[in-house]
Amino acid sequence: MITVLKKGFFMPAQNDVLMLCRAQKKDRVVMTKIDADDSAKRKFAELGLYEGQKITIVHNWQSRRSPVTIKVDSYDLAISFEDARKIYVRKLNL
Amino acid sequence: MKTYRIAVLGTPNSGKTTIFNKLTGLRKKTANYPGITYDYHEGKMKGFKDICVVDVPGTYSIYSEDPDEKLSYELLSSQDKASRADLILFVLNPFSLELSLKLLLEIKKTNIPILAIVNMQSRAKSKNIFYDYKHLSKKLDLVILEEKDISKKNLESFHNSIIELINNTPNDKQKPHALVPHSLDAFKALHREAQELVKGSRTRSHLKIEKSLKYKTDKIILHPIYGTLILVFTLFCVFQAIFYLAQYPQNYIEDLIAHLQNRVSSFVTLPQLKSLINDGILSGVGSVIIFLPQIILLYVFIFILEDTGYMPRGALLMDKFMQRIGLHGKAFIPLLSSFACAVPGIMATKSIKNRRERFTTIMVLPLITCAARLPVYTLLISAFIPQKTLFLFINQQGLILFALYLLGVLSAIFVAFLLKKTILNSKKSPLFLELPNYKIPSLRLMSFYLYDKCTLFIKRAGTIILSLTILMWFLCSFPKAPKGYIGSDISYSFAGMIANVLTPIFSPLGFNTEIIISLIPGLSAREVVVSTLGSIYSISDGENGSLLITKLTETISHNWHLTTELSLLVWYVFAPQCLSTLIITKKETRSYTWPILMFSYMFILAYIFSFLTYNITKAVLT
Repeated sequence: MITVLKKGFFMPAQNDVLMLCRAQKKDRVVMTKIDADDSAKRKFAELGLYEGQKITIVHNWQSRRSPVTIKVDSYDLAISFEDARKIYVRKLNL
Repeated sequence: MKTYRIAVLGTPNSGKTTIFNKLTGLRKKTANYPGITYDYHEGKMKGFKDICVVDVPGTYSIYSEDPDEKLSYELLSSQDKASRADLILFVLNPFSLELSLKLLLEIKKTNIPILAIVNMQSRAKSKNIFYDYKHLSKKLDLVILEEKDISKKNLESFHNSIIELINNTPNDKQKPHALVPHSLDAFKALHREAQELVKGSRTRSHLKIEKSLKYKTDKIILHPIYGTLILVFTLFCVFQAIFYLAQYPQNYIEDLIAHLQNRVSSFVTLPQLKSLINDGILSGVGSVIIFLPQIILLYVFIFILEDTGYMPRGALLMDKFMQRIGLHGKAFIPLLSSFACAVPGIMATKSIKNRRERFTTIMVLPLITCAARLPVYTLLISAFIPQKTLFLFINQQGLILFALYLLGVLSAIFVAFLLKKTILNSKKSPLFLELPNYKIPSLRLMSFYLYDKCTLFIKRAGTIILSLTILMWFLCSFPKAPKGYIGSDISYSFAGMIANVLTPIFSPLGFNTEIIISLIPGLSAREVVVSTLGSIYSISDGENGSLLITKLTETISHNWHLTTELSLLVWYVFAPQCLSTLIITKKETRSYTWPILMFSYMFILAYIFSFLTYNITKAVLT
């Protein structure tokens, strides 16, 4: 079941799983699913983004005009808002 | 003598080109964002002709599908021994060591000997990033060098270790390894292995995210409202500064050329030779050289944006907007580079993976106002728009210049949108980037960069522009009009004859004979139109050696109507007057169709909008 929060924002009904674009700043999360084709998944994996990877949200303005910035291991990545909607994460500090 | 090929490999933005420049003494462009190298660079190692160093575009995986990143795969797997790398100099980036090590583990599976080198170590230490590289070296079973190991005094021992390593590698190991593309699980496994290696080598805990300057700055720079405002304000200030700051050195150049012309007038007695030097060479080339300060300023600002690490952030901020018009977020970097020149911009599109998105970007890049348009815009604006401060520091001429740049951007948006909706329709590919750290731009690198750009501009002025100016002087001066000929001398010349043939095409746009003549050599390079106009009016006036930019501006403002000037300005926003752009488009698209399409649509747009501008303004003003 999907709950519609706002036009364009979808969040799965499970409380602890959410889209990366909806995660809060400083959240420590684990990636649970990437909703993309194999080629895109491969691109994500090249930069260390794959299911099971733990990441920290650095900045997230929850705006389509700004990227979501995350810390993976020791490096920082920025993901466009649209692509952050394809990544599902689960909070680790719940 | 046997030559060995060393490939400098590493992840994007790990500083491979800096290492390449240190080894070869060359000055290839470096910047603080991923994807600055999009093709091979080769050079001999300083003092050692038997070593050929190859700088390869950065990649996160040798199995990458991106056009620029595929080059490393070709270099490692080539069946031809001469083109295959004999040794890999792998550049480790301490700021993203896991990604570097993941790639290194992938490369280790090939049978090519590897030497690793840690780059940016002092910067990493200043950010409290420390690793035990000796431990890492043992774990990886390879030598890890430091930057000082390739300094001038250590180059010989570095050379010896390269030769030793290549010679000690068994011959069978130097054969190409059949590279098998990795599965997703293999990627994960390699990344986890890299994570473990990093964990075991970390000697101090790193800074907390919140304490870093990057975190604090990104909070503002990437903010949806403040970030966008900063981006627009930055670009606006750049264009204002170009006009405001350049006027002082321009006055000096103008005085210098006027002085040279006076000297020629007093020393050279032969009238034809005096006319050639003063009206042809000094007026023509001088009227282009005079814009050097503005072009330098433009390059200074582009360098600052690139070297501080602002460029990729701009790309991310613009992604949503870019997506709406049919471009990929990464297109922002080639678009911004095209403010200097469309040629490197077109080459930089290699970082865009999707072919259709890449071609859409290539097709619209020539609409972005390049440095070559600047002399034309400045001349025409100065002729008709008075120098006035409107509000605080806002210069009226600078404002018009900004509007013309904006018109270029808007037309690029319009064309991109049309292409995306028609022949280049495709699904959007993802955008995620490694965020570089902010850094203070290096003055040393900036001076090298500016020196290279200025030398190129002056060489261009001394070769293409000079030869075309001399040719135009000849076409405008001969044959001489007989005594009693009614009309200007130029209308009797070869150039006048050519203009007569073209007049029916261009007269509906309000272009006079002088403009039509200047458009012909202007097809090869846009800025040539200024030098040609300089020569034409110098000859028409018959005043040897007195026509420089101030006089040319006065002459244009006196002889042309505002409608003609506006029509020509609009023509220059769209016109496909750059041969190099068409050639590079052919090279990058590997087809004649795209450059032909580019030329055609730009010519049609230029003609239609100039026609409309001329006729509408004529109807309004008369």
